[in-house]
This record gives sequence, C-alpha cells and structure tokens, in this order.
Amino acid sequence: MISDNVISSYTLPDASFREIRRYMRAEDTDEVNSLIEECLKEAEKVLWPQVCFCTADVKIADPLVIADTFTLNSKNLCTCLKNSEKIILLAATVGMPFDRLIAKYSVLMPSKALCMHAVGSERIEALCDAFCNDKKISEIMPDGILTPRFSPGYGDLSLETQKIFDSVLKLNKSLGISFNDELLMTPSKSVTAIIGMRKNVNQ
Amino acid sequence: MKITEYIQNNILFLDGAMGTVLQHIFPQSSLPSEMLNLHSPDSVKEVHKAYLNAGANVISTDSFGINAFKYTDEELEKLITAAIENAKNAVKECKCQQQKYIAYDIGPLGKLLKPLGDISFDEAVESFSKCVRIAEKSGVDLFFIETMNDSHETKAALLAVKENSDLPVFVSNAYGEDGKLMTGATAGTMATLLESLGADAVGANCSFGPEKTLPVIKELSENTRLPIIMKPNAGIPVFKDGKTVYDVTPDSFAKDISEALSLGVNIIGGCCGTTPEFIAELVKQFSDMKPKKRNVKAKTSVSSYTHAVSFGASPVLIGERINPTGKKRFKQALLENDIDYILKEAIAQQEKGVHVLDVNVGLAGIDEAEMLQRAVTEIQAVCDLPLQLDSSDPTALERAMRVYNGKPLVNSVNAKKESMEKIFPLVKKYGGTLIALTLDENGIPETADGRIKLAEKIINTAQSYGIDKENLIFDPLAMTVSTSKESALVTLECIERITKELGCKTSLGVSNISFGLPTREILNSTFFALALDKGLSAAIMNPFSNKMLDVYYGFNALTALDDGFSAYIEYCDSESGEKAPEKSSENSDSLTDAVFKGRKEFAYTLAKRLLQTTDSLEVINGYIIPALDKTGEAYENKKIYLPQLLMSAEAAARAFDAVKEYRTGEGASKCTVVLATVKGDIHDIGKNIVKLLLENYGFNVIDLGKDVPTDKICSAVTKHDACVVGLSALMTTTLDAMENAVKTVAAVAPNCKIVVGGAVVNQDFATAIGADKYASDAMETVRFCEMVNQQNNFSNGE
Repeated sequence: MISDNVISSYTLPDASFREIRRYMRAEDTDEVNSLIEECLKEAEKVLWPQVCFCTADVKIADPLVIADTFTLNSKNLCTCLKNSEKIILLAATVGMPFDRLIAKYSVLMPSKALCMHAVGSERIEALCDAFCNDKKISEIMPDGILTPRFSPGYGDLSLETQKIFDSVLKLNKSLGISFNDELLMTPSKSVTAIIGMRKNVNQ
Repeated sequence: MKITEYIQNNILFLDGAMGTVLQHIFPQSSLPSEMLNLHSPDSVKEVHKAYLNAGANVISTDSFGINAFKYTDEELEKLITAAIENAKNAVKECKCQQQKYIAYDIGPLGKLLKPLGDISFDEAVESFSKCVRIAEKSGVDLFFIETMNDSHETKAALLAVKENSDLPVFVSNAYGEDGKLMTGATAGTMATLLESLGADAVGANCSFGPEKTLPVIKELSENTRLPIIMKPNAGIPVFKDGKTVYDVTPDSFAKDISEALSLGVNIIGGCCGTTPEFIAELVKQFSDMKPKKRNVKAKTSVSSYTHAVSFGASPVLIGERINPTGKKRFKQALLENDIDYILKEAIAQQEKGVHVLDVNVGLAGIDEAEMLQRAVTEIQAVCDLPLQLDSSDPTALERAMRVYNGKPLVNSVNAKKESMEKIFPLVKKYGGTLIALTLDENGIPETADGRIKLAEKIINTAQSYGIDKENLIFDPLAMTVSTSKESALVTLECIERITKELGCKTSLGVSNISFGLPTREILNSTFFALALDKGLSAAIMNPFSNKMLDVYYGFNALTALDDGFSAYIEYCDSESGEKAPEKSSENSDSLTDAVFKGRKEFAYTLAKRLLQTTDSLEVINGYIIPALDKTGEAYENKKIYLPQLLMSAEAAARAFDAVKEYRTGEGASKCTVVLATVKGDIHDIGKNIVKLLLENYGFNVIDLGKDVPTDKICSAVTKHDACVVGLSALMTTTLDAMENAVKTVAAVAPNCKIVVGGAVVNQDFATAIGADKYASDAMETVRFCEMVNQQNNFSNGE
C-alpha cells in the first residue's frame, strides 16, 4: 500500500552559523559571519521550504520491495532500514527562487555564491530535520522511531531511484522539482530520501 | 456551438480529477495514468462518463503525463489517439443533454527550461507541438494547458498550440500558498502574459482547495479581460490519525466556488481529490446561473517571470545602459562574448531602482540575433526586471521575443509601412507592448500635429492586426535643442496630446534633447521634469545619473505618487550613505591590507586615491598583486579558507576597476585561458572561483559556462588561441565527458595546455585521460597558468 501524497510547508528554525561555516569550510571570523548574515537576510525573502511525502509498506529483502510494486537493489539501504515496517518517501525543497539567487551571485560575487550554497545546504537539512521531528509524523507509527534518512546516490543506492520518487510523489506537480538527464534535481537545494519506521525496542 | 461562444453567456462546467480517481481504482498499479488509455480503456471511458453524467460540459483527455520527453513518436501517436478515442466513446455513450466538449489535456513536461534547467525553449515548444499535432488530427474541441507551475513552460505550451492549431486554448496554472508559481510569477503576471499571447481563458487549478485558491482568482479577475477558470483540489490531503484524507466535502467545495462566481469566474471544475460527486454538486447549485459580467479596464503593461509593470500611474524608468553605443568597454564585451559584463550592468541598474531594462546588443561584427537571444536568456537567469528588447533587426527581435519569459516591451515600430508590416505580426504572435516612434518614410514631422497624425496612423494599423492601442507606447522623439530651439516644446506638446487626445502612454529617450551641448545632465534632468509634468509615462534613462533620479523621486513626492514619501526618504538616505566621506585616518598604504581583508569598496576608494599620485602599473604591481600573493599563500598554507580567498579576490577586482577607469590604454595582458564545466555538468561555482582569480592575475579569461559541449570548447580554444583550457567536473557521471573533451582538445590544439579539476577528479584520473595538470584548487590553477604564460613568453623571446 502507498498512501496519498501530503504536501506541507514548514517554518524553519534559526539557521546554524556553525553548520553554514562547516559547509563553507570557513573559520569563525567576523568577516565570514557578516557575510553569512547578509546572505541569510536575502535568502529568507525567497526561501520556500516545502515537503511532499507518502508512506508505503516495505519488504526488507534482496531486492527490497516497496508496496509490492517497486524493487530496489541496495544492501546499504537494507541495512539502514533494518526491522522497518513502513517507509516514508520524502522530497523536500527550499524552492526555485533560491537557485536564481545563487545564479545571480555566481556572476556578481563568488564569495556570496559560495556562502549562498552553504546557506541553502544548511536550510534544506534543517527542513528535513523539521519534518522528521514533526509530531504528525510520529502519529504514523505511535510506538515507532525513524531511521536515518537515506538518499539516492548514498552508498550503493542508485540515482535511478529518483525515478521512483518522481513517479510516486509527482515531484514536478507537487514541489516543482524536475530532473535533468543525469537525474540531478532542480531546484538544486532539494532532497529526496527514504526513511524507515520501526518499532522502538527500548520502549 | 463553439466553446468560446458558449462561455460568453453560460457557466461552463469542467470535469474533476482523473489521476486520483484512477489511482483508487488501481491502487497497486505502477503504470502512469496515461498508460491506462491503452491497458484499461474502459476504465478511463467510465471515469469520463461519470463526469458527463454529473453534468460536466468539458471532459479532459487522460493525457496529462504524455509528452515527447517520456515517449517515442510512435508511442505518442498511440497514446494520444487512444486517450481521445476514450473521451469520444464516453461522449457517444452518454445520454446526457448538456453541451459537451472534449479538451486535449496538456500537463507540464517535468523538465525545467534553460538557463536554470537543461532543455531549451524551442525543445519545449517542439515537445508540446508533437502532441498538439496528433490531438488536432484526432479531433478535439479545445486544448487545456493545466497545472503549469512555470511561466516559461506555460508560454512554450501555449505557443505550441497557437503554432499548430486554430482551436480554442484554455490555460490554467498551479499557484502556491504565496499566490505565486513555483518559479515566481504572480497571478497578475500570468494574466498579463497569457492575455498577450492569445489564450482564450486563464485560471488556476490544483494546489489547494477552493478557499485558498480564491485570492489567486481575485488577482486574475482584476488583471485580465479573459474568462476565468477555477479548478481547485478537494482541499489538500492532510495527515489525520496516521492516515491521509482530503479535507473538503462536495458541499463546502461548492460554497467556496460560489464566491468565485461572484467575482465573475465562469469556468469551474475540480482537480486532485475531486470526484463526479463534486461536479454534480456544482451543476446542481449553479447550472441556472449566468456568468457575472466583469468590467476590467485594459492596461498598458509588460512583465517578467515574476511581476508585471504597468504604465500610467507612477512614471516607469527604463535603464539604458545595456547598449554599446558610445561605450568602448561594452563593445569589447560583446565582441568577446563576455556575457557576465552585460549581466553585471543589468544587476547594477536594478539596484539603482529602474523598473525595466533596455537590452540592445547591435554591433557590427557580431551576430545580433544570436547575441540578443542569449543576452535575454542569461539576464533572465539573474535579474527579474521586465526587459525592453531593442533592435532594428526584426529577426533579432523575433528570436528574443520568442524565448523571452514574460510580456516584453519591444523597441520599436514606426509609421513606415515596412516597419509596421514586419513588427505588428511579431507582437500579435508573441505578445508584447510596443514602443511606437512618430516617424515615417518622410522622417520626423517638425510639428506636433504631424507627429500626432502618425501616432493615429500607427494606432489604426495596429488595430487591423488585432493589437489594441493599450499595447502601444508612443515615443514622440526628443530632438536636440542645439539644432532646433523649439524641439523640446514640440515634444512636450506631443506628450500632452498623445496622453489626453489619444488616451495612450508615452516614453522618451530623454538624453537626446541635449546632444551637442555641454553639461548635458542639466538639460536632461530639466527636460525630464517638464515631460513628467506633461504626463510622460516612461523614460529611457541613465540610472547612474543622480540628477535624473533626483527629478524622478522629487516628482513622485510632489505629485502624490509616493505614499508617505517612503521612496523619496529611502532614496535620500541611500544617496547620503553613498556620498559619506571616507575616514581620513586610513592612508593609501592600506590598499594591500584592504585587498587582503576583502574590503571591496574601501579597496576601490583607496586605489582611486593612490592613482592620483602613483603610476597605475605601480598600483597593480606594488599593491594589488602583492596582496593577492599574500592571500594566495595564506590560503595554500591553510591560514585562511576559501571564503576569505574569494572576498580578497573580489576586493582586488574592485581595485582593478579603479585602475581600469583611470587607465585609457591597455597594459600587457597575459595569455588567454578558456574555462568550461564539461557537458552534462551544471555545477559552476569552482570554475567561477578560478575565473575570478585568473582575471585578477591579468589573464584574459573566456568563460564558456556550464554544461558545455566538447565542440564548443574546441572552437573557443582555436578561435582565441588559448594557452590553457581549464575543465571542471563535479559528478562522476560527467567524467566521460571530461575525458572526451581533453582528448579532443589535445588533438585539435596540441599547444594548448589542459588543466582539470573538480570534486570527482584526481591526479590519477587526470593522468589517465591525458590532461597536462590536475589542480586541486583555484590557486593551483593560477600557479599553473602563470607557469605556462612564462614559458610562452620565454619561447616567444619576450
């Protein structure tokens, strides 16, 4: 069984300068922090954090089977999802206008483009975290816990898996995400991930 | 009765969801909905029939997901024919009496258009066209373009229908909660664009339930005279008790739709989550109603991919700086294909507050049509202002109008027969507002009467092409007062009479008035003030002229066009900020330090100051280059990191700007380096960093951009006799493209050194594919290019 798709928008928590600096590989200096501050101020005007997700039954085997319909050959994913009874197929994006901001600064000011990339990476991860911490998600399996997020391209999970996300979550329609021939996503600050739901054995 | 006639006096009922209904019939199917046209035609037909039995006038074929990127030509033929056949069979079998129409449904391609995506505008048009041609042949009553979330793709689809069919076409977009498409356009923007492109109805579908769709519908209804479509979801699926449910019932759905009907909406139906019950409820409640008449005044407006600009309220400023006339550096940029230079001009003018950008790239020695198309596409990737496409070449105008994402301002048409015959059909086809010059085969009339007559002639001829006078903005031409002292007065009279007698908008290239006279800004700004007082709607002007901006903000403040004087106050604040004196305690010796610390504007000011007493070469070699070296070394020794390296490089670039402004002659530059991200790879930040640093070190850099085919790299290398080509790749999937590029360049230009880099490249790979150098970062590339340059100088005996 695959559930209907749900689209939700989220208000993101304050950005972590530490994370942004980590993505930039930058030191904690006044110049860098004021650049980050400047970028965040501009970014906040155009960020549009949204997710689309559904839940599906899963058989953890070789190959792994989603909702008796899609098969995946990935040992790493099986390990990650071990003991999961259901999975969430998640797509998240901070939206297209943010890509235009990056494009603008790629021409105008590469330091700001670098910083914008880092801001986008931090914001999209913050969005995924906000989704995983959402109380409504825990209601799907009240006694369950979520596994870490596992994305196409991680380990031995082929990028071709993006096609399953696209087919199930109708990503262009739901979030405006499109794929190029190499299966990279636009908007660039977008994430697709499989999250397992398994019983919390510690409870 | 044709559907366009029917909707004049009737509420038109569309069907509801197809995909979500089929999904519930076949919950385990992994087949896309459109494949069911072949695999289960009866199911598709039964859904159509259910909607017809519910009272729908229009059923849309199950073809939302059919496009030429997903299916071969043969598959398209089979699928589209089957989809239409299924709809026709439903109509045949249905005994219901209402007026019935079959719409061929067109959905998004699932691909994003260039420059942010990877398909060209013409590829998108051709993909849609293939389907339109098959559908037209198979026999439908109209085309329904729906759920489009990108304005550019919407334009491609509409153009494809218009180029291949005379059938009516409805266009409906999917707006987000913020009332915008995912790529940024507001409903008003889409109304402006779609009306100008000749859609027969416009609207909103999908996304949300009817209540949340109402603000979008209201905005549409205020911005277009076209009939309005509303086809919302049955709410949005929400998570309740661990399950997904739609939160709107047929009854509450109909209640919200009734509000839309009171706004003058007359085409209604449902999208995801709706069923025949929803449509039956609409028919039950509203079939006896007549559409409410709307009284929407035609506007003179243009649009970009995010917003529309209307002429007639506050004056519109059109930035004139993207034009090579009289600009040596700009000409050089055009000849060298330096698109970044143009982009920087665009952004700088936007920051100065202009509302529209003029784009003129006409120059002897370049392919103007190619360059105008490219400039328009690239500017629209980084700047969201509407553009004025400015060319005397109709071919160049057509190419730019075709790819332009929005409704452009087109410069220009005049009263010459030849001009009108060439330009009006373009505006009719691609949409646009025209700058119309009051001149004809006999030149520019000396009197206002003569120019008004030409304006009337243009209005009448435009009407015969189906172009309303609201899509014309008259430029009565400012001629220099130095040759005719009355000329300013004649132009001012024309502005007043065109505004009052003809009810049209006006625009002027203001600065022409002072040609041949000293201190032109005084005359330009005074003339600008006089013209604004006569009702001038727009001015093509230099936004870096403070006197012109003073007039603009002052005029708006004094004529009740600036609520609370907010724009005026903001302008004054920004001007006083710009004019603030530099701290006198900082001396010229600080230039090196300013560059090292990445203080851009301070580096610029210090360099300017230093140039008053120091030779420009000394400023470069004694101050800027040592600073760059210091930064480079600190970076290589891991004392600073990439952001600081970049900030320093940008500060150096600003200091170089000061030197370039001061120095008229060109210094000895280093050899040419061609840079590209290889085919298939869309990452360019690393390449851009390398470019910035190389330019600072005096190299002539030809940047080919990202996703560059090998043949383009080779032709740039040979054309510019490059000493080095730098190739970047960030994905393992594009390493093959890098290998191909390296081998081909090595074969066609054996003397050109090849340096490769990027996240997935390493020394072993570089060696294996035959590259001359693997550079792990930007500084290493700079060092390598310096070495090659020195070797070249040595072998050339310098």
